[in-house]
Amino acid sequence: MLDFNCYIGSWPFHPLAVETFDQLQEIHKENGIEYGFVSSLKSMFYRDYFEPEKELHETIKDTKYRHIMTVNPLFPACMDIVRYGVENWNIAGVRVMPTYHGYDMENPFLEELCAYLQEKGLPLYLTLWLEDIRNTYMLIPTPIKWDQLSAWLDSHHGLTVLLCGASTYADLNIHKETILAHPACFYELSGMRHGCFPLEELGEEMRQRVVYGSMSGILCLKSSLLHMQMGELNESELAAASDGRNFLAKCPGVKV
Amino acid sequence: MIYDVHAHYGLYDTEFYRRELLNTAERYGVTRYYLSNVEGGYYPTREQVQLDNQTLSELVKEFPDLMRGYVYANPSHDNALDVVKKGIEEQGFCGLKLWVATFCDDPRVFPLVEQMIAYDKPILLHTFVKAVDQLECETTSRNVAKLAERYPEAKIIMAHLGGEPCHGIRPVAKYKNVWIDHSGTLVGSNDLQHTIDLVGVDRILFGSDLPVGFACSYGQVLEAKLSDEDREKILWKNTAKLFGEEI
Repeated sequence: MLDFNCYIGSWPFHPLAVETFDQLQEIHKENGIEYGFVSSLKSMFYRDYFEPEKELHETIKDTKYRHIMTVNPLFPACMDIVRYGVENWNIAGVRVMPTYHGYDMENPFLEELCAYLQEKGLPLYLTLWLEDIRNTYMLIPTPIKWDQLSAWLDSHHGLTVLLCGASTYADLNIHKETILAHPACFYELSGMRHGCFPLEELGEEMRQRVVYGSMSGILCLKSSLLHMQMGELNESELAAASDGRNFLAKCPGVKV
Repeated sequence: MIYDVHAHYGLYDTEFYRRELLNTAERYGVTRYYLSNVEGGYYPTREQVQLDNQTLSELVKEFPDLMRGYVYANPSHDNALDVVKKGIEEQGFCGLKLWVATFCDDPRVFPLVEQMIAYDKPILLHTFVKAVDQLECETTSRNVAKLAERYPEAKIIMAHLGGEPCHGIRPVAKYKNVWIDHSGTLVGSNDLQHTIDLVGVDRILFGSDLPVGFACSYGQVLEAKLSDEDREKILWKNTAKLFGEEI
């Protein structure tokens, strides 16, 4: 099994159970997860995110872990840093956080980034939520409106998109046609708060679009893992979610 | 074994609730649910409360080994004490559930608490402090602490880790008559561990908020750094002890 959505780094408002790379590796090992696609939390907060991205690269470069770069497209250096990451660090995708960084999906700088990722065959990690909105402090995110997201997905069929932290089964269920209408839109399970067996309720087609993601160390890893283990998925569905084969098939630029 | 001290039944789509309760019991190994039925909005009418309790009572009687129930009351109703008495004495409930119709330390709640002390049965209090959408009379751990101070004999269960363990737990930490459930689909990596660090394991009860979720809470218990004995305490033994059941 692989973890397609995990972090290292600290959170400014409270301690996390998993902050260091060693801790992340340990919790993965304990849960039978071979490796993860990891991002730096520090990059979310730094104005010059080159330094924390370099630090992440140095930390994981001799392991199987893959680097998901976190950027704010509004910053002028964004594309320079992304190109550097592709050319020198073999990054496996780029994470954006419009919910937290305060821009909408129509932003031209985001558009430039998406065009580049599409050209390189790399996925866009679109982070919807990190913390539970009820527990936020100081950093109050502005949710992406699903109708806006739906329109944006419709106009980006060539880009592979991983929706991170969709949070509620209800959101995914209501908008599953939006996700399924896109040829390469996937979601992961971290922070899935509503529903006892959400993967069963979402149906067969949606189970082809899921990959395992924990959002460790912000969120409890076991909680998302239980959705995989306790839902009645057939063997091929479980395999596809676990190793992300459907997702990776749409990411030709990711060399695993 | 799992004793889920905080789960729900409903009025309108009862088949859904039954399916989720029974499926979860079978797959996860839940051996006992402590259920409330709070459908009818934040400020339910007398009739809604009556129907909630009646419907739940019927379910509990249908599954006597698996299910226990809390009587639900709206303290702003002048018949609230009668509702509680009927629930405990006639409908077979084993505790009282209060939600968001009033703060838990509203004087209208006091007669209900005194009655529950007389019965020596627990009171489950919805408790949440939210960054957004806090309800007008939604109890926080500050209110719970005041109630616990006033009634040291009351057996109080503060739900949902107070809504936010970083500042929800400390106000009640010193009150030995307050137990804490970690239902509410809270899923922060350190939520449960932080609570354990503040109050120890003996006053923490497993709760899910089912059918809203189950994996969130159960995953946290599995992930916390606990001995097998302490994990068992949280998963069922503390609850069994609180409700006077055999261990």
